[in-house]
Amino acid sequence: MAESKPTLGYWKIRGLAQPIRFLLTYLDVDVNEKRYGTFEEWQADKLNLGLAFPNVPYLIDGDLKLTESRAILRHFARDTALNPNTADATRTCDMLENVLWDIWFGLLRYCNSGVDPMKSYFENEIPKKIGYLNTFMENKKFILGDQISYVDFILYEILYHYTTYSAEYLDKYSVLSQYKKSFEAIPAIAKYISSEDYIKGPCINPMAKIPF
Amino acid sequence: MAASKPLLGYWKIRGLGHPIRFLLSYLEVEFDEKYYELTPELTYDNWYADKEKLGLDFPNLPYLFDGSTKITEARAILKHLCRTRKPELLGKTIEAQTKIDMVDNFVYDLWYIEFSEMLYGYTEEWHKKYKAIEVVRLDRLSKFMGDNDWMTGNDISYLDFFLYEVFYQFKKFDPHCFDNFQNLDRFLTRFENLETIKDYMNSPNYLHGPAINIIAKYKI
Repeated sequence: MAESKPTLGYWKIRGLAQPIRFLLTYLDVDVNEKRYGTFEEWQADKLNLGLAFPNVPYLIDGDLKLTESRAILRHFARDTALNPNTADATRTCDMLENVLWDIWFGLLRYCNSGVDPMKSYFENEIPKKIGYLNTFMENKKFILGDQISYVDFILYEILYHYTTYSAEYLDKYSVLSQYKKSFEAIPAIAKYISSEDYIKGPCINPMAKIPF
Repeated sequence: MAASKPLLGYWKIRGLGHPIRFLLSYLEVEFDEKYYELTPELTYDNWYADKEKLGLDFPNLPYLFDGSTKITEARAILKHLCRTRKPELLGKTIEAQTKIDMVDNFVYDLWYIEFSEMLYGYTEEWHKKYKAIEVVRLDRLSKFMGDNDWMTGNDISYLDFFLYEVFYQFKKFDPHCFDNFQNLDRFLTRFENLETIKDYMNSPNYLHGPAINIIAKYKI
């Protein structure tokens, strides 16, 4: 009897699932995707999937029913080449995961609300954080240096989001700008980008105050 | 030469510092603290005076100096301490680690995006909206925990140190928030009764409050 593939559920947008999609492609892991086009479609499923904390993205793989995009990403990365394998590398990945999430949500929360306090935070605090990130990535191919890890998949998607929001956003951050181009040139990534499955956009919920 | 004690830098509040303080106490690691306070004009200048001078890649509070390691991000700090002193607190099995990841992120969103934001920008309307969200999410957490001693089973993990402080703050804001979730209330008591935690809470070093920065509109 054939084993069933895992199912990844999310909206028909890039959003928080996109790092997972890229990671699965990179690792050559086959999953079924359930892509929800409307709120009603998701509501029909939401309480019927056996999820402890119903939300998207979700992963259902036999008895495993997982939510929270970072938990799903870490789950797939575990025991692969994308997992850090020293204490130093693990500490760096843990720290960057949180730093990146802050940077990402600075943009997402601003564009969802359009107003203060998210607006001020985005305009005043986020550029400083991206500045630190740009400096951190100098002379590094990936967050861990030469070794790609699951956190790079978060970083890439953030850079894609920011440049979709504003095409010139990374102009001041040359290291990050170059990183984005290099990531897109990774063969498995480039192949996925040119595939039919690939979602170019939107990045966020089209109902957001500032959609992109 | 004696090993230097770890140094925790954070606001002179509970906030994201307390889970780290609790964990250090549980691990029986003596530590020093650098407290930062808002200026009388309620600015961050005292922190800004240090911020760029500490050799941190991503300057922020809390930060931890531990030997030659400098680290920021509260949850990364918690995990670092576990990894270096008691790795089983990261989750004894892969199944436990996966559950911990899921609940960690779920609870952080509830605390940071919903609860903390509401306190900082408080309005009555926002309070009501928050309570409607909180009851649903606490229900899920309560069901997930069930009869376990700790959130992901009968083994304590770093998550429980984070959870204790989050639940403490929820209860400070609304003493009745766990009335319908008795197992979450028992969790609070169970944590407070751990020997090392009890000793810390009774020590002269222990900071009882405030829970969050006093620039919040609603202070706890």
